[in-house]
Amino acid sequence: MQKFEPEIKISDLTLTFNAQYFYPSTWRDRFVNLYRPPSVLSQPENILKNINLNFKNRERVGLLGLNGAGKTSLCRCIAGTYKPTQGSVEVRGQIQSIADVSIGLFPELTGRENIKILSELLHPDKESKDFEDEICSFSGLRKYLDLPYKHYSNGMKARLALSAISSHPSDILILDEVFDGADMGFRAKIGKRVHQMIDNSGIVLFVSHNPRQVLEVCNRAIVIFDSEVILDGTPEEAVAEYESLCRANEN
Amino acid sequence: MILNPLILLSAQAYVFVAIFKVQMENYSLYLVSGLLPWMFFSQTLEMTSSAYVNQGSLLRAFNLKPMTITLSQVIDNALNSLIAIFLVFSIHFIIFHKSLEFELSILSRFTLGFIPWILTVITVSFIVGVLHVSYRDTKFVASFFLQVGFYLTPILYPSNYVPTQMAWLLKLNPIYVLIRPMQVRSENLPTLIWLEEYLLAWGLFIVIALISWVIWKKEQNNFYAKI
Repeated sequence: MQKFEPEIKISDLTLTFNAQYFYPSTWRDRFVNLYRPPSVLSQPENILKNINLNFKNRERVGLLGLNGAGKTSLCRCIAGTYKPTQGSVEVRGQIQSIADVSIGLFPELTGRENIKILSELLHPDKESKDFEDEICSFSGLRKYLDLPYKHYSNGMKARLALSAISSHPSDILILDEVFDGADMGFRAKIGKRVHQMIDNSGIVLFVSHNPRQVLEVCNRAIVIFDSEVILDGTPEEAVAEYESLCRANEN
Repeated sequence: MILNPLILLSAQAYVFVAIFKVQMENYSLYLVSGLLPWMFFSQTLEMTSSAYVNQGSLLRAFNLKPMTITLSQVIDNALNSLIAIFLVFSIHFIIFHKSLEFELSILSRFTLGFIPWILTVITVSFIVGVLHVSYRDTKFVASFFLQVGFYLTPILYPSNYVPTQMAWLLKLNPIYVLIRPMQVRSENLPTLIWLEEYLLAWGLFIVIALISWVIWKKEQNNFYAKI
């Protein structure tokens, strides 16, 4: 499928946020702070520290870690959403990043119209008409496709979103905890389609809190803890390390 | 979006002509040609100033360029404004039987004057939206200056109503400089004078664009993190 081999090179990546990213300021605060010493909240917070990773074509990499470890931030740095404070991220290939299945869906529009918009957002470089009909058919929503999205049940919403996001492979695919919410029957149906999408993609980064999914899908896995990569190995090793982190965290 | 300004304009034209007795040739056209662009600007700014914060999840999820949201709103509002102005000029032509030459002249000057205006609206809306991400009261600060600017700019009143000793202040009012080429004034306004105003409007747009570019360069690195 690809004319070249996709690749991701991450060198000495550090991402630091100041407290102002968590507490948006105002012009009034800016004026007042001229006369006030900086508080401890203005100290920078390390989100990612000294990350060095290379991802090559055909790698399906699981990203495991506790909440707040830095998995999503790493995905956003790769996707170009966050600019590294230090270091660099070099990407060769088209990136498709899917994080939240409810984003890009508009309650007042019909299911069909939402599929059209979502297709254009996910695949801006492709003719969305080519696979809109296929997505509509796969979702199984039939007559409900012409009803406003706001009237859908959670299961119907999941069907629509998952049908759209699993419609097309990519050079680099980032899946950030997207495969929840669908009913069991649809999960079986979507599982095969997702596997097909993953098989046809170049590099896949798969963020999940479900070790079983990582073992099923990935051929490499990384564990992130406290903003650093602590393990880069086989999925079995990563799952074992992740589970021990979860137990330690519970205690 | 079209009827609303037309009805408002009709009411304002009646009040200023029949009640305040504003003495000016083609006052209703002068009012329309200044007020409609102003309404386009203020409505667009109102809609877009907090758009990046409100649509932050969409921008981050699909790595969308923020200008996409601004442009979609600006184009929508601009189309409504242009349709409204065209309707008003057409109605005026039919009712008041002014010469076709005059009508074509004001229409062409308005259209040409609208180009630097719409570019400025896009630029200002974009940069106010960007600043609102870092400073969440920017929208309210902008709204305040917009209100002050409306009264200080000769839109409802002719510019010769401004006292002579204060007239130089008008040249420092960026909204006045940008709106001037669009405003319908005398039927015999020399082309050279209009051209001078037009070039000044373009010059001001370039300055605003440069300032906005500098601000964006400073804010862009952590824009998505702050949303």
